[in-house]
Order: sequence, then structure tokens, then C-alpha cells
Amino acid sequence: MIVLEGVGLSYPGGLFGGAPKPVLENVDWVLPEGRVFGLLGPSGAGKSSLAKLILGLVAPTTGRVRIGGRDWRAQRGTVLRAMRRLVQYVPQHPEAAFNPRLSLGAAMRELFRLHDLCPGERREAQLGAALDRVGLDRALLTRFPRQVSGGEIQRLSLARALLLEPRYLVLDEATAMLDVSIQARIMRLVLEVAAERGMGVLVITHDIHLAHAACEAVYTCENRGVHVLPGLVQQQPAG
Amino acid sequence: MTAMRLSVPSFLVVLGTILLVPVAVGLFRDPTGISLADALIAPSPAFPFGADHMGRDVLARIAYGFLWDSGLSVTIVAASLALGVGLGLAGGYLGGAFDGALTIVMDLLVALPHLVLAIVLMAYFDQGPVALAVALTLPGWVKYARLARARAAALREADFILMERVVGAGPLRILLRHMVPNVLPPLAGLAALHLGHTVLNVAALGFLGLGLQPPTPEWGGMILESRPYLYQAPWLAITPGCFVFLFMMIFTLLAARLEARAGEGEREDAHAAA
Repeated sequence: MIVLEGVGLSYPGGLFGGAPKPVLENVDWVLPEGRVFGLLGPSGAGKSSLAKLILGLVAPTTGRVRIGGRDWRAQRGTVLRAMRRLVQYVPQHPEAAFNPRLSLGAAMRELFRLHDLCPGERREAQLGAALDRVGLDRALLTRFPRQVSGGEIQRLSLARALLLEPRYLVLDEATAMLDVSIQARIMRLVLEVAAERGMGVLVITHDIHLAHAACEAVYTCENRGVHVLPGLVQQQPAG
Repeated sequence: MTAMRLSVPSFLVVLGTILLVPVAVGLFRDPTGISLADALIAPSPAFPFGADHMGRDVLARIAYGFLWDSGLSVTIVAASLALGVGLGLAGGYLGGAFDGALTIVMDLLVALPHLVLAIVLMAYFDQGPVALAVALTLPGWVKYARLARARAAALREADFILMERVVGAGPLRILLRHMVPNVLPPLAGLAALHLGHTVLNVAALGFLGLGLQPPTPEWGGMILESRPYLYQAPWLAITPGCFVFLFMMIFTLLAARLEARAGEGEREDAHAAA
């Protein structure tokens, strides 16, 4: 479970100082596992900042973000690495999410070394299964990020996130750049995996129809806070 | 009539051959053997580049001078590159007080003319190859550090670096595995240019009597020793001067080529990301 308690986030003032610019203020939000939530909001409202807070990429100015009861800020070393595995992310621009100088295979295989996911001889089989799951050919692994299509690399980005078997997945406009058929295919796959593994999903999107179709509850990010969107909410579990 | 155009790689091969063939031949000859009977002999089959005022074979001294000048220059460039990239990456990636202090030191060193600084340092040091390497490395790392720092600061917020943090990579792995390979290609051209300039600086210090000391064969020192015989035996100054020029020209052309290739790579990456 991801818990945001009184979270505020401000960015520093301009080049010559000045007052910090608040993006989020006093946000309390609980994201349980096994539920699919949507987050809507205009550009600049703080949706991506919220994603970075959840992923532990930025520290809140006030309050705390806890993953499975642990505060991001208090963690170091192997505990932090293990926590990272719990929350994964699929960004809007997956072609920029892979090192341009590493082959896609090298980028994927790094995960096994980082987290010691499985014994060496089983790694290729597991990698192959992850690619099969998202409908990609293994030949893709010999290519570099600029040599594959947007749809392929987005699916590979999803495969990378799912390979770590996270408890929570954040999709940040992950299907916005794709055509409708690939968009639907990716969302269907995410929902299947979420149901199978009891994984929580946060879908950050501008598309209210997508949010309505895929999510159990939809929130909006505006006025420096997170608010539930009336009419698009199903029962939220206690906790 | 069709004009013959030589591509840059072919031109580099031709220049490299002109530089390396005499060096290869000269390495089989004695650079320090004195024979006053042969003093100031003009270029001839026995002495293809002539003999100096002590009858020493200029071809052999050019060849061993190449080993000293290029060996020292490669060491200086490699040390500057390692120091500059290490400090620049750390400053750009970590930011904070370390980055602030690094920026101040870099700004101070950039304001000082490097050769003048090296002259001052050499005047205080014992004039050996280690002192020479230190005197030219101290100001030499700054240009690499500035570029590496700027690249690292830009890469720090790049999506693929954020994704590496998301999947659990630590700062050291991110620096070595993901930042260094993206920072080094644009620095290759700079290193090639620096190598050419360093040979010129090593020779300049030698010419001023602050570099490697006689009887070590060194191109700048050879020009210094030839001064009293400039009219009588001009080949003594012209030959090492030509080799310094040739070395600089090769690495300046190579630098332009490497920079063009790095630019193409950047454009391809940017096009793919667009």
C-alpha cells in the first residue's frame, strides 16, 4: 500500500531566489494494492510531480510517502533497492526511457543483475516469457532504442516494469502517444496482470474516457491537491 | 580534368605514414652516439635527416623524441581526461556544495593561460618528465570537467536516468554504466585536439629549457639546441618543427572528424527521442 500523509511539494524560486513555488499542499492519499485508480488533471497541475513522489524520485517538502509502511526518505542501500522494486513506472516517452547507447537486451538483462531475480540459466527463459507476455519478439533485444517503433518500445517498457513483479505500477500518460488499438491492447494487458498478481495501478492520463473505462476510482489533481472525481468512483477499501 | 579529392581518413593515413615511417626507421638507430667528425652533416644517405653539432643522428633523435613527446602527451591527456571526467561527472550529478566549489576552481583555472601556468610550475619543479606531466595536467583537466559537468547536469534529469533510479540502480552504477558512455563520445574530439596542443606545449617548454633536459631527445629541446646553427644547418630546426606541425595537424583533423561524428550521433539520438 502506498500512503501519502500531509504531503507538500515546492520547487525553488527562480534564478535570483524568490519564494518557492508550491505544487502540492497537504495531500493525504491511500493507494491500496489490487486497485486501479485514475488521476486526471490539467498540464502543470502536479500529476507527474505526484508520480515522482510515489516513486521516491523526489522528497516531499512536508509530510511523508510510505511504501509498505516504510518512508522513502529513511531508506538506503539494499533496503532502498528492494523498495524500488515494489513500485514501477511506465513513462509517456518510452524511447527516452532507455539508455540510447545500450542495446535493449543489455538494458533488460541489467535488471537480473541489479535484483538477482533468478539463477543465471533461467534468466533468458524469464526474459523471453516477459517479452511473450507483451507480444514482442526476442530479436528486438539486439536493437537499440532508436531502432524500434513507439508501440514496441512502450510494450518493452511495460515488460521491464513487470519483470520486477512490482506491487504497484504507475502509468504516466503511458498510452498517450500510441494509436487506439495499441492503447487498448496495452491497457488490457495491464489490467490482466493487475488482476492476476493483485497489483495496484495508478493511471495518470488526460483521457477521461480511458480513466472511466479502466479505473475503479478516478481522482483529479488540481488546486495543489488530489480530489476524488464524483460519479467515477467505486467503493474504496478501508485502510 | 577531374580534380582528385582526398577524404579526411585517407589524408590522415597519408600524414600518419609520413610521420611514422621515419620514426620506425629511426628507432633502429642510436640517438645519443656522439661523433664530432660527423658534426653538422647535411642530410645524406648515411644521415637521412643530417647530424647535429655533436654528430648525433637527427633521424634517430626525431624517432626517440617522438616516443618522449607523444608518450608524455598521451599520459597528460589521459590523466586530464580521467580527472576532468571524474570531477565533472561528480559535480554535475551530485550538485550541491561540491559542484559549487568545483565551479569556482574551474573558473579560476580557465582564467589563467595554461602555458604560462605550466612555465611557472616548471620553474619551481625539478625538470623531469613527471613534473612536466603534472604541470600540464593541472590546468589540462578543466576543459573536460566543464563539458562532463554540463552533460551530467543535463543527463541527471533525463528520462532514462530517472528510469534507472526507478528500477533500483545506485548512484555509482548510474554514473559508470549510464552516464560515462553518454558523456565520453563528445569528449573524444576534445581529447584529440588536446593531444595535438599538448605535443606543442611539451615542445614549447623544451624550447624554453623548462622541459626534458639534454641529452634526452625531445623535439622542442632539439630546436633550442639548433639555434646557433640556424643558417649553417637549418635542417636541425626545420626537421623537429615539421614533426611537431605534422603531429598537430593529424590530431586537429582527427578532432574535427570525431566532433562531426559525435554531432551526428547526438542528432540521431535527438531525432529518435523527438
